Amino acid sequence: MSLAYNSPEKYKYKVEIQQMMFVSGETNDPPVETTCLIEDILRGQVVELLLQASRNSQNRGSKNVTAEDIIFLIRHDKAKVNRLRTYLSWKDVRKNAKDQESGGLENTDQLLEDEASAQANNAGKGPAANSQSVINKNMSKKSKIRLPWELQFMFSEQPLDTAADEDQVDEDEKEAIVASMKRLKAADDRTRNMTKEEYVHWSECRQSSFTFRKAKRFREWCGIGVLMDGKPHDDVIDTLGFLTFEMVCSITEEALKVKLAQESYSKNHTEEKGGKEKRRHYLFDAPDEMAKPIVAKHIEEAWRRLQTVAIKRRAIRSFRGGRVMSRTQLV
Amino acid sequence: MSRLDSFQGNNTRYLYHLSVKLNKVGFFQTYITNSQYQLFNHILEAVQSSGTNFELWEHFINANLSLKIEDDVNEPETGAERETVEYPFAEGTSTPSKIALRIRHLLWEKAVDCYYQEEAQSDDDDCYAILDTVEEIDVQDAVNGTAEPKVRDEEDDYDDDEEEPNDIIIADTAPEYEYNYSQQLVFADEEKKEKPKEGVSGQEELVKKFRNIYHLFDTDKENLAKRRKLEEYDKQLETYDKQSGPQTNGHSHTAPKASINMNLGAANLSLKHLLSSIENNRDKLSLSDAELRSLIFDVRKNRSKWASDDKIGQEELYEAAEKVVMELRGYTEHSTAFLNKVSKREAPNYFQVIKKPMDLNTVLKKLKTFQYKSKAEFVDDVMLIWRNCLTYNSDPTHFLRIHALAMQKKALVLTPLIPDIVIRDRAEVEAEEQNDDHSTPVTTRVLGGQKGHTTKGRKRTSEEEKPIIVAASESATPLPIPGTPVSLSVVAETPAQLEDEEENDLQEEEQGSSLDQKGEDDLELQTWKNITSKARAEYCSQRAELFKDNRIQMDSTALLRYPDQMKCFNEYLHGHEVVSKSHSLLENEEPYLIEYDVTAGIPSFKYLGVSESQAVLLESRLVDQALDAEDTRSDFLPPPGGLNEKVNANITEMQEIKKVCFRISLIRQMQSQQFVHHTQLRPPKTEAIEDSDIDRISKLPNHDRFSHPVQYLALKRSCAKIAMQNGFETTEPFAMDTLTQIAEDYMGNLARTLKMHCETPSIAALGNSEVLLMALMESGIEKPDNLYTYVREKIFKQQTQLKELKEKLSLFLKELLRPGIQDLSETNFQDNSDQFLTGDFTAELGEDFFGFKELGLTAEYNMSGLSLPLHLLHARIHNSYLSQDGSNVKKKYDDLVDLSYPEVMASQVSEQIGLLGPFFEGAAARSKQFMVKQQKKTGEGEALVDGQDYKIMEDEDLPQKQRNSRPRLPPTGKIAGIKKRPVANSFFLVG
Repeated sequence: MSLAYNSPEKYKYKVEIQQMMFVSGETNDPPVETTCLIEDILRGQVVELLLQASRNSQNRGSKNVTAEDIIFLIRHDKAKVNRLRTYLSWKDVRKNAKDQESGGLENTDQLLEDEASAQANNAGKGPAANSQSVINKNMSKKSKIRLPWELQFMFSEQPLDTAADEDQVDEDEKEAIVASMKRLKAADDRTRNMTKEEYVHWSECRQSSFTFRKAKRFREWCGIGVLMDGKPHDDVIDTLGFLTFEMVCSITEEALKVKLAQESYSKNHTEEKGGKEKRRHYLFDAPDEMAKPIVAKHIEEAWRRLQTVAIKRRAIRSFRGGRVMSRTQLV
Repeated sequence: MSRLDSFQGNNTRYLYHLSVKLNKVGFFQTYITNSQYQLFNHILEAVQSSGTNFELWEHFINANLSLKIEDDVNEPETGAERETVEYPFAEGTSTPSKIALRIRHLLWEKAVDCYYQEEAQSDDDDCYAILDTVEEIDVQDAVNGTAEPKVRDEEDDYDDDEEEPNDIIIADTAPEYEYNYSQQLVFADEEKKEKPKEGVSGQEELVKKFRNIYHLFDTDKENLAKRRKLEEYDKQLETYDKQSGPQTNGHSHTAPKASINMNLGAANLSLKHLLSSIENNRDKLSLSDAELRSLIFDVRKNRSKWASDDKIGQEELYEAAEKVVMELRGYTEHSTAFLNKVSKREAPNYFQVIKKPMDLNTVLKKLKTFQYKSKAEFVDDVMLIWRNCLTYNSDPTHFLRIHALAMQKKALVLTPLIPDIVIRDRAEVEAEEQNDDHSTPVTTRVLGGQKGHTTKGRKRTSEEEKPIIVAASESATPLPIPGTPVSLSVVAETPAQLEDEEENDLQEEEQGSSLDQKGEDDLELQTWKNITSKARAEYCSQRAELFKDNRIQMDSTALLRYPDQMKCFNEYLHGHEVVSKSHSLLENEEPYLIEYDVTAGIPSFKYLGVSESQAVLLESRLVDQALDAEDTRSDFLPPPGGLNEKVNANITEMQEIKKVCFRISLIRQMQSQQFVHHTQLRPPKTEAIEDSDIDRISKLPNHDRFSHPVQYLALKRSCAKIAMQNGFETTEPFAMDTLTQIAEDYMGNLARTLKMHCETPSIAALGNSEVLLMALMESGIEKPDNLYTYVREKIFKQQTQLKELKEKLSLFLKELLRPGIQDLSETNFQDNSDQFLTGDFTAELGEDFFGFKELGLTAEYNMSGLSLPLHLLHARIHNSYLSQDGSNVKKKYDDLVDLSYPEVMASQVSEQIGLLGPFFEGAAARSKQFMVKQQKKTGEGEALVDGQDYKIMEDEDLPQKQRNSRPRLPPTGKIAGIKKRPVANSFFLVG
């Protein structure tokens, strides 16, 4: 492993991972070992995702893996699914806009918004839509992502989406909005005291992605060509990109917890030992409480914690024994 | 208690009287061996005959008697007598002292009874009588002042005494000895006959006596092994039989039982009880022997396999012979070694020593192939077996010798039972018969002989005499009291056959101190062993099966308690004598052995249980009660107001939605296809969910509500409901079963966890709620909130979603069926869209709803009714809707008062509201124009008469062209036709 730390052939996402870790709370520059470890984990996860998804699609009787196949695998994490839906619907909007404008969009965010409002006007529901709040207006413009395991697909016929229907915000979405508001608030808190440069860096970091404009690199990285036949849909790649971001975040958060626990433990430990005597300080001493970055062992512990088999999965085996089939848990 | 004194004081005279009494009753015969009995009897008689010569008796009973025979016997009979006597007894003191011990034991056992007078049993009553009389005698004796006490003193100078009693015997008994000797033989003979004759009853007595001794399992291993071997050989023989079956069959089945001359002898073995009783009452019978015989023939069972028409006597001989062989084989105590041929492996040089090997199975085979022509041949073969053994195993201490000798003894006892017959051809016999009218009595003799009626020695004679002589020798009927050379020589014959060395063997055998021999001395134990060997082997093998490898074998069949055995045991507990499983011991039945009957150790319940009919009665009574009473809810019905109702509501909602969906899809089909097959019009069948209780029978209190099948079904119902609630319409039964089993498993685990926590002996035992939480957590529900969330998400939220969906779908349906449907809600269609599709509902309205008449379609399409051809439905529907808008509206508000407004005349235009002036003017102009046109048509002239007033016409009354042509939009305001719905499997609905 160590010989390949800096090899660009194997580890291609060092910067992205660092950026993502920064976004999810790691303020220090993590060492290469950490990013490489995370990258390995990520690759494993992506491979697992793809394998399970293609198995699902085969069971469905279709050759191509769709985004739904991947979403299906994380369906129990409702918040994540909601975020993903939002993400995908925005992406859809962007694509539509691109089609209408015959491409040429460079600065996505700004133009996206423009396009969205333009589209809204085109749809001819001016007065009603305008009366609503900006967020809701934007939401209503987006196409709704429907997942095939939703209730309405239980039946052979689906109602048409009427205008009223589109205006409606269903419960899931409300929850998603609340959740995203919370996240935004947290991010806001973090950025409150930032300087302008820092904020720029932060926002850059937020945009980092494994796949955005790096689809080819991503495909090579996770060996998608080997894992499935044919070229996967763009949606699949985007979904994976989103999920990898989430994965890095959750691993980092868990690792931070681990680090914190470890630090508090060792601190208590040294205090108990009575090693509290004050050291003398000298001019060129290194700073006393230097924050240490997440190292590989934290990641490993975090990974272990994330991989524990939930009691729910083991419960059926109680009193009878037998091996619990454990597979890689998707983070 | 005074009776006990005589026992305590070792009062010999008293004991003598007691034993004489007991002897008369036949008490000793059952407990000591034949030879012992002979000797004992001899002594008793000696004492008796010499009047009050109690010295002999005293010596005997104090075990000071020594047996010496040789020198004192008369010359002519020496050889024979000596051998006979020596055969069972050794010289010296050991034999009589053994007998004395035994007798003392038996007598003192009687003393035990004195303790339990109140429980006196029938046969013991005599004894008490004896005791009493003896006491009297004692008293008399005491009065006479005999010096008894002296007898006991000299046990120390035992050796000195020994000489003395010897002399006494010689001196006193010598004269009687010869005389009595023959009597001994008589006894021996009778004994042999009597034993089987007594048969069942005797055995029964014996079995009863078994209870007095506690038997151990000690020797059973051996017994078991021997039994097994016997069974094995039996099997071998069976296979042999099968092979040789055809031959013997041909031989045996031919014979009708015609022969008058048939000798009944062999049948005795099976009919001996009948015969014995006949014999006892012979005098009372007026029947002749011949008649009796024919009667017995009738009684006899089917003729045996040995029967043959051509061979006279074969049946009898072979039947008896077979019985003998079987008996010998069954004498497992000793027979094991002689069952099969000696193999070369066992004894490599056997065939050098033994020229003519023989064994019991070979004998049996020979029997089955009819190789014996006479009894003598058969007996020779049997005797050869033991002789071979004794010859080969010349080592005096060899264990097989003991067996061989025992078998020999047994064989000697048994062989006299075989009738002495030579098988002859029928023709020959018939010829003889004509000459000899004697033959009838002869055969009765045979019959009688078997019964022990006639001579004791006869059979002995027949043994050695060739069967042809039978007639002759038997005609020389009742030999008087034996003592004749004939009888003696018979006894001598057996040993003579046994060659020289045998004498040594016998002595050795007597000296041998093996367990077997000891057992042989004890007749009781021996018979016990014999009688019970089969039963014991069975019990032990069952037990051994259960405890194989020194641990309980879970898989082996359990030892079961059987009612009959339980009954026996119960009777035993209540002090009854238990002999066998049935009350009296039948011939071939094993006796009932309490200490071996492992499963009978537990007494049966007092409670007899409920019989089938009682149960039925009880149930019918309960049914009656239940019928009278109100039908109550059982716990199998979900309680009202629970989650169950919600789930049910969800399911019905789903069913409704499915109906709507069906309608929608039907309309789609009709749009796309010209012709719709009527099967496609059939709506999906749905059944309303109904929670039914369990049947009333199962509610009866005598039915277990917690029985697995019932509970399982209840759980299955719940599982099915959940599956339905999640959208399944049908499921495979197997899938449902699997699901239920998983649920069962899971709930079981939950309950078990709960139980474990509740029953924990730990100090830190949890409270109830903690236990519950813990159990939930261990079953995968981390916190009870999860359950709440589940219910909220899965049931309540689903309900609202379903309702919304249904609304949307029905809206969609309405949209599809835009015309005329506003006023008709779905309920008007009675859940069947056919009515709408065919337009049948128009009949109800009673008018030309679709405007067919107006359009002239009735004629064009030759439509009989007003209903709508399906293919026309959608294409035309829009049009008709438009044309009928007004009437439709009217219908819609028919509950409102129908107002008619006054018509506005042209002259009144100026009076109207000023604002509306231009409108009315325009309308007036149009009306005028119309009027003019009308007039033109009718030819009334071009111009209107001035001043003529006319109505301002409604727009609708005007012709099409003059109408105010404003575009009409469908209610949605959309011009486009029906939207194409997205492809079914796409997931993104783009609005």
